[in-house]
Amino acid sequence: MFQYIVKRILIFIPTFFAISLIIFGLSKMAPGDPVEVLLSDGPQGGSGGQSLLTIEEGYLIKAKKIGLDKPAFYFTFTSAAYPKDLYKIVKMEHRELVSRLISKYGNSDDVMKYYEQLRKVLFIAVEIPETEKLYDIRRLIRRNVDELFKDFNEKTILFKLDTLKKAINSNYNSALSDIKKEIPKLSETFSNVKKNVSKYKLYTPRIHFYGFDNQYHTWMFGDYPWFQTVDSSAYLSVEKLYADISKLNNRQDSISRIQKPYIAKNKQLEEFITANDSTKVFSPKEIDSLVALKESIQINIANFNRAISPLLKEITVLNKEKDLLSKRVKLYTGKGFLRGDFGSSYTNGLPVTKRLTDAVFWTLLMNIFSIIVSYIISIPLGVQSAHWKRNSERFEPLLSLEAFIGSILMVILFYAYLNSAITANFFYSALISINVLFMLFALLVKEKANQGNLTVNSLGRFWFFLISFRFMNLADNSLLILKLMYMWVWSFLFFVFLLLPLIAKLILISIPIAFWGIKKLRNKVTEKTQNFSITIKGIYAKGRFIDNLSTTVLFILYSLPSFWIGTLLIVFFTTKNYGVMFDWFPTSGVQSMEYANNPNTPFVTKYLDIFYHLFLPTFCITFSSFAYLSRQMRGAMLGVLRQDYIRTANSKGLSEHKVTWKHAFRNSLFPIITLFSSVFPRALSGAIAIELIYNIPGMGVLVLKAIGERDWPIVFTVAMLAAILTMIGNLIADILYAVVDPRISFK
Amino acid sequence: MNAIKIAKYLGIALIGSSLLTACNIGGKGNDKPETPKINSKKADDPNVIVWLLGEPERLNPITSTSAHSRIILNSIFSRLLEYDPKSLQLVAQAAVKRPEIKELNDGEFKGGMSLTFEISKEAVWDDGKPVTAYDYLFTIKAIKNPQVNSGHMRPYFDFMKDIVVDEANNKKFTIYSTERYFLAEECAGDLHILPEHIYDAEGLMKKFTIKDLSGSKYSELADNADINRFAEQFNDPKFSRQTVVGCGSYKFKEWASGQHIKLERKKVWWGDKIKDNPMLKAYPPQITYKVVSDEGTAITMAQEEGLDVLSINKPRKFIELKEDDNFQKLYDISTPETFSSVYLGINTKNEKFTDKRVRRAIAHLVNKDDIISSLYSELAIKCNSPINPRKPYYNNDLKEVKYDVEAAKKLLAEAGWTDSDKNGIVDKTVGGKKIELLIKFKYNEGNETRKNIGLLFQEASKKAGIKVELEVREWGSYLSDIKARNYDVVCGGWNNTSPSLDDLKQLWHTSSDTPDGSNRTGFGNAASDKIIDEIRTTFDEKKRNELYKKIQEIIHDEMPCVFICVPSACLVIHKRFKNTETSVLNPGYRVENFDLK
Repeated sequence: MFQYIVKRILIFIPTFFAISLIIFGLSKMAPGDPVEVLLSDGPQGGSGGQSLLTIEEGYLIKAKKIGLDKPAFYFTFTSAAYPKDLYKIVKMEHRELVSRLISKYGNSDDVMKYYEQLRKVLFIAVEIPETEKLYDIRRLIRRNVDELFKDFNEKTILFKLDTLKKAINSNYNSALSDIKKEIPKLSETFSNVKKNVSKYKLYTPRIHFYGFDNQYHTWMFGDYPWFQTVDSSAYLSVEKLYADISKLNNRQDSISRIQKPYIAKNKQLEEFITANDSTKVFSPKEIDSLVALKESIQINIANFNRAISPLLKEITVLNKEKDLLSKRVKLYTGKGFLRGDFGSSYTNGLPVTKRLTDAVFWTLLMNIFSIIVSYIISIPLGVQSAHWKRNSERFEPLLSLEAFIGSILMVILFYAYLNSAITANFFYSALISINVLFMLFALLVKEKANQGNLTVNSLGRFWFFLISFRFMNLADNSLLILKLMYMWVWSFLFFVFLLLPLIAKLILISIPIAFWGIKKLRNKVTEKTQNFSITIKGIYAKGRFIDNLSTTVLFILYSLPSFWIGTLLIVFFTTKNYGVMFDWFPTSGVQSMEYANNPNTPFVTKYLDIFYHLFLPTFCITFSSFAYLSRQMRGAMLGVLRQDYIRTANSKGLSEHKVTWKHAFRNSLFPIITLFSSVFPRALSGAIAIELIYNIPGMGVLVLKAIGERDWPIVFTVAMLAAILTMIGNLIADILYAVVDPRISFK
Repeated sequence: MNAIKIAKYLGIALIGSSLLTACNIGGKGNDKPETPKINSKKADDPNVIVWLLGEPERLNPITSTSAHSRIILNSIFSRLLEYDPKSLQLVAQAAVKRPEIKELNDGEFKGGMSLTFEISKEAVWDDGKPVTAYDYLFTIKAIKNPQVNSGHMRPYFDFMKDIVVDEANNKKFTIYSTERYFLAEECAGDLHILPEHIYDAEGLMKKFTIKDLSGSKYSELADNADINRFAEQFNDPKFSRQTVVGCGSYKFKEWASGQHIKLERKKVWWGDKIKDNPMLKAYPPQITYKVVSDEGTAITMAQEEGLDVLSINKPRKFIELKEDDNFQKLYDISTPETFSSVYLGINTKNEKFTDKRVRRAIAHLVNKDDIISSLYSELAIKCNSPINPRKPYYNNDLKEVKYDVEAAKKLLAEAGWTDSDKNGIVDKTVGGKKIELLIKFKYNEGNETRKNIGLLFQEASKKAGIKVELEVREWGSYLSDIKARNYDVVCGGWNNTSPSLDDLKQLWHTSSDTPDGSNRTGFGNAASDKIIDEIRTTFDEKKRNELYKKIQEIIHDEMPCVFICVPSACLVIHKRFKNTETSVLNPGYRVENFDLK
């Protein structure tokens, strides 16, 4: 078994890399240019005002930052026509143009010359002055050149080149002298391309090796060293130097800012003095005082300068040192996927890990609850359904006495809480105690059924049973949980019945009475068809009736679309539109605003609040899964119960409970385990519709938004994680098969 | 049939129908005795909760491109000037008064202009340091830094060539420009001021001057180590999500990702010392912007008083709310006009649409009255030009292109489009090839209004012999298609938020007719460019209005766009506040003015 696990894990690794290759390939084929997405100009705005050179340089720097200036993979398997360094054309649009032309004509050198010449013409074209006389020709040249960058159709290229030539030849403006030389060269390069067609090159295969410095490697493994410790001393010294320089800089700057008014005053005084010097308006004493004032100001200015100059000198020295050290600093792109560095989101620059963890928290919370609840309810329900089907004439409890009492008590509690007659603490404690008492009572009943009469001895055994934690044997006692949930259903029905207006109450009561009356009238009530038996112990119905009823209810639940139910639930149970009394839940969101981000809220309050908000959306995710899980369980159970060994066990005298849970259950788990393997990827993905309706910032909404915003790091990380989880889920399912069925071994 | 059987079926039918009606009665019956009281449960709550349709991606005034962030930033940061919602004029906020504008006829900036601002004496940052001209200077430097993601803002600050701080008073400064740009005051004044000592703690931008950043050595700066270091720090999420500090009346308190953003009124704020400036009033102690991505859910929350301010996008829903009595008791509803517009852009470069008669024919096939009444529920006004009809220089003499199928047919025939093969679609021989007039109408996914405009257009065009196909594209592809001029007719909208003069360069000048520019229809010739450039430098109002009217005539004549209407905003504000008058500005309300009644 252990060998098997090890073997599976070893197979896991190449599968993982194969999936990563597929996803990497998809990312290369994804539409849009990621650099353009990153440059916050966005598709709507212009990158106005900047020269073409600055725009190009900005593009290059951004591309380098996300590592798009490297070759894509370790090697490429292409034809001889494509040059090895095609990846060096960083701008995606231009690279596509060149590769398309090469694929048509086959000679990369001439195509590259054409491309270079085209760029030259573009750079000269933007320099044409914007005067009125040159207006039309400028526009014409610019438009044609821009379109040539996207054009790889021979006829239209020739047409455009022709237009350009004609326009240039008919205009004799001196400003066009540069471009007049270059455009004919452009046509020449293109005709070279056409002349030196070497299509044979397209059919000769060639492999180019690029080594480890490529995009895939950086994405997967990162370029941060694996085993050596990085010498970050240069980096740290540079940072320290920056800090020192900035301190000095700030000090020097603030001194010179204080100095400024003095300089201004000095200038003012000088002007005043020189203006009034010749007129000799002032008395000698006044002139003396003015000169003294001027001197004092100049002394101040000199003092400031004396303070500033050593600072400036030191700044220059430190700057030199910093420049030298900076050359030694090596910047790494990242640690790579395998070490958990998923990159940064394009939209707001946050690391992908942070965005994922924020969203996964809510999704995981909802999904874990949903999975637990759906399995805990569906599995015993399926087993019981199989029993009902097999014992269709036996009376099963539809509403037993203890369930009735328990639900009435809960209804009273809910009603009191809704009318604020009791405090929250009393409410929660009373609720918990009612449920616990019910469970204990049900346990008691089960033990009695198992062991015959309830005597003092069996009470002792029961007590021992409780404290020895044997009740943690979940499969055995899952029926109890089912009974508990059933009691909740009844209490919900009674509660709704209580809150409805009088007319609705009367109508609802009259339906079963009407049916019963009609049946009685027709005298069709016989022993055989009597479906119900109403005793003091509760309402009992025949197994076949309960089986049909539960199937109908489950299938109705299954057929209701979850998003529609979601909206209905919001309207009915979170607003006052359909009755003030039905406003049980908060409208949307995941937390009340005062608890979010507040470190002072106690743990219990915070999570109770979250549970309160997430109850309805979790319900929407869960209710449709009851049907298929329980039907699978029921089908497998029925198949197993038909077996001979079950008949043997029954005839041996084992109680039905033991036969079901000890012998039949484990053998019917196969379909459940298969379904269980899909739990892992399902737990991570969110239900998009529910999250949108209930305003939950979970994974579904995150991925949807990321796709719309072309935020590829998030999309591809989620895709990879989903693939990994699926594989883990399959592995666990296979192991569980072996655990459950000892016949399966992995030798 | 058996009588019992009949009784059984009747009984079932009766019970079934009574159940259905009971549901209805159950609903309304409960409403009557238990309607929410007119005095809402939040009557004493002075805090405001505003609805945000989408979460802003960052809260940095310079790098944020999202429309949702601006309203939040207006509360956190102060600007020199702000628009008064009543008079629609620029009014001083952090400045002492409106700037002194001089036309320069000599010196270095000959032929240009200068603006002199003085920042309010009392203006200080939270840590007590005064707000000085150096902070404004820093903000401009940050915008002009070539590596900062401020590309969408840079064109508006191109005119600033130098800023000189007054030697005697470091709160006073002068902006110099070599051109006489008519929007200079608005661009310079309506800018969120950033604190230099927080956003540039290392003082990296101090040694660069505005002259350096505007001059010809610009492209060399892109490599400079300090420029890059500053840009990296500034673009970092730290300054977009954690450190958001301004001198406005509100402090950024917290941002719960995907849920809400909270702002808290500063206890000690310099603006409280200045008594008579309405732009410096701020009442609510806390403003919360709650993110709800679904409009239906938001309206449900509003009915539960979970939201105080909403801006509704679907006019139908709005009309429903207007007729809901309970809702009317709690919320004020208003529909102020806006400065946005809805239009159909025609790709003039496409060979089918180069003839302006064809474009005019398309305009005749758009039934504006029908669109306004059925799609906007009368909450829109008609418009014939890119200028908003409420502006003084709107050309009222432009003849509206009425919905007229016959006129469209006539124009098409004049332009050479006839149905030569009698298949119901007109065609023409262009360059030796016969082409049919097939128009692809592009709109973005999720926008029902634009889809319906397309459907109406499709029906009308069929009568005139034009085949229209609707093409829906998801938002990202929609924008990139428009950018690549890959469309025939596109239904789009513009949201120009400024009530001041329109600068037509961005949309109608041929210099914007590039892959990166916003002149999407390809309009323009030498004459129109000349007028646009002249408007930018004309300060004489009368002369400028004449030029505006002229350019509108040219645009109307060429018809590169069919201007459909100017939709009104639909605003819902809780009744417990006063000072909630709405205006044309975007957003239509000033949330800082909300005071409890």
